[in-house]
Amino acid sequence: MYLKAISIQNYRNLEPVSMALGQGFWAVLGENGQGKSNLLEAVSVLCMGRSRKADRDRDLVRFGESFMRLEGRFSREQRGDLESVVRVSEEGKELLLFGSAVTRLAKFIGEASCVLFNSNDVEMVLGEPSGHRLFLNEALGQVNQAYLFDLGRCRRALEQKNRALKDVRKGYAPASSIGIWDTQLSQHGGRVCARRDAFLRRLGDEAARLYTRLSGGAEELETRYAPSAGMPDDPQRWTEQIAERIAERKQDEILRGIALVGPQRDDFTMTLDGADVRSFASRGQARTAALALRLAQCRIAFEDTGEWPIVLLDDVFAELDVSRRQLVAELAGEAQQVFASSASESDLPSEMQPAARVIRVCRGSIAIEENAGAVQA
Amino acid sequence: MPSYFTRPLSKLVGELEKLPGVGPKSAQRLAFHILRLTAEEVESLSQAILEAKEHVRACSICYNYSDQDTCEICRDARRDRSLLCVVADARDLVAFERTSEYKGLYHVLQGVISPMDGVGPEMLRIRELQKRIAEDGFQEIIVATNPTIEGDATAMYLAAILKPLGLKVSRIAHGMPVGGDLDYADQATLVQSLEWRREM
Ligand SMILES: Nc1ncnc2c1ncn2[C@@H]1O[C@H](COP(=O)(O)OP(=O)(O)O)[C@@H](O)[C@H]1O
Ligand SMILES: [Mg+2]
Ligand SMILES: [Zn+2]
Repeated sequence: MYLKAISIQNYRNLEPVSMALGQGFWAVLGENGQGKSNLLEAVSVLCMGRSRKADRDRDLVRFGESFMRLEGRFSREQRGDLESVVRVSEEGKELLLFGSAVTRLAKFIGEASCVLFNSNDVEMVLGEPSGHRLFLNEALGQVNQAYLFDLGRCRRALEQKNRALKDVRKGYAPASSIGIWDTQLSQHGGRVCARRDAFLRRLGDEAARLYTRLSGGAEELETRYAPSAGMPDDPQRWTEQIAERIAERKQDEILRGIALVGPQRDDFTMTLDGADVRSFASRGQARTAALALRLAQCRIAFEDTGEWPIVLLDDVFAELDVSRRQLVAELAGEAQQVFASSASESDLPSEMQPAARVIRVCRGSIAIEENAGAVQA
Repeated sequence: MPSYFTRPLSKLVGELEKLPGVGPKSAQRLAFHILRLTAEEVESLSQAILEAKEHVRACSICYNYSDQDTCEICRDARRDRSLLCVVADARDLVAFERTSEYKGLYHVLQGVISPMDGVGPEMLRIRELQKRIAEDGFQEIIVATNPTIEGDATAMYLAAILKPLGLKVSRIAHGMPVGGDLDYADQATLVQSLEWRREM
């Protein structure tokens, strides 16, 4: 899959631009603070319908403007071309596919797909379970619409349950009123957990393989699902597993007025030769683990959809040594289209440099520069 | 409200905006449309609103809207009195009636259980439902709440209190739209239609 053309209006600090793009490597160059990350983020928003970074869609609108609009034309091998639009204004967000409004994010995500790598991935690897869940939801949601649907239902059940718990704690409702929400949460949560479990097994295997290549076989990376309800003995019994754990913690939940068991508290752990990455990994090891996870995300998207997502490498090369740069370029190079941003061209791996066309970003202005040795679109 | 409207106009826009599904823009459009109507047309619109409010009430048996103490459906001798379909809202009843397939009676809950909206089971017409069931000898209760989290939870709540009465309690199936094209149905709908599959 690749982006054939993009048009950007009032997106963060970017000047309005419409440009034709093509397959291959694109180097996105410019000094710091010019808008390189914003450009890569814009591409990811066109695929995912939202930004990983922005808490509110409104943050994507250029300061002082009332709306922003992104439009992309994608070439897809499997499902034909795609036209998508993301528009954010004071009235909210609009998502369009082929000009028709899509009301559910779940139906938008996955139509075009990309994987954004950036330095926050290291924080994700080392950080809170919530970051791990975000990663999981993005990577799995991208290839599985039904997962997003289940997740949405699960969240709604959780919100209702938490409210019911508070009502019970304050004495507004009898304890028996929580049961129907427990059932909803464990039913939909059970499906969410089953999908997470299956996905993390595949992702973990890929990531382990990739980690070995990236680290030159230094250590072994293991990725394991850590569901808040614990693992059921029988993979068919997720719903029962969650329901049983909820039942055990019922008093606690009422006392605290909040649900303590369910997919909203899941995590996954990573270990290097058995040592927890969060507590023991060096920054370099964590970075390699993050790269392995993101590359694994790409590979699984390829396996499940039959095509490589667009790869967005936001400032990832500067932190890597030369051999690692080459390897990442090689692994990511399986994609039809790669955008790699950097403040200095010399940080880009040498095998990318001659083949890349350059997008120059300067104070929000974007211009395509044809390199001397550039290949055609 | 925007000061560039004269007061009576901005009041009208404000009232219209309070209606569900009407945003500021549609409220303006409606208000300007109303101003273009003749005095008789406006009179007839406002009369219709007042009369509906004055004469329409809930049927004392099923809680459907009615202009009499009991609604037409409850009074209709040809309806099958062994079947009771429980819906959340009078609009759902209308949807069933449009099909002209269902011949039983209804019970309108007037909502679904939703702690987030402050709606507990005691605020719905559930006690009335229990009383009807105890007195009226139904053979089957069809729970036809929507397949939302709240609709499902409400159905579950009802099943828990109705099943012990030894009645047949069923839930309407959800999933593939009839005549739906498998290719175009989204994954979630397909998954659901698999889950709700029935034996043939
Ligand atoms: N909504 C916005 N409106 C205008 N400028 C923004 C907005 N959001 C971020 N910026 C600006 O974008 C710049 C950062 O751009 P970025 O893409 O991160 O730069 P880099 O080229 O270093 O990757 C900052 O100067 C920031 O103030
Ligand atoms: Mg940047
Ligand atoms: Zn009636």
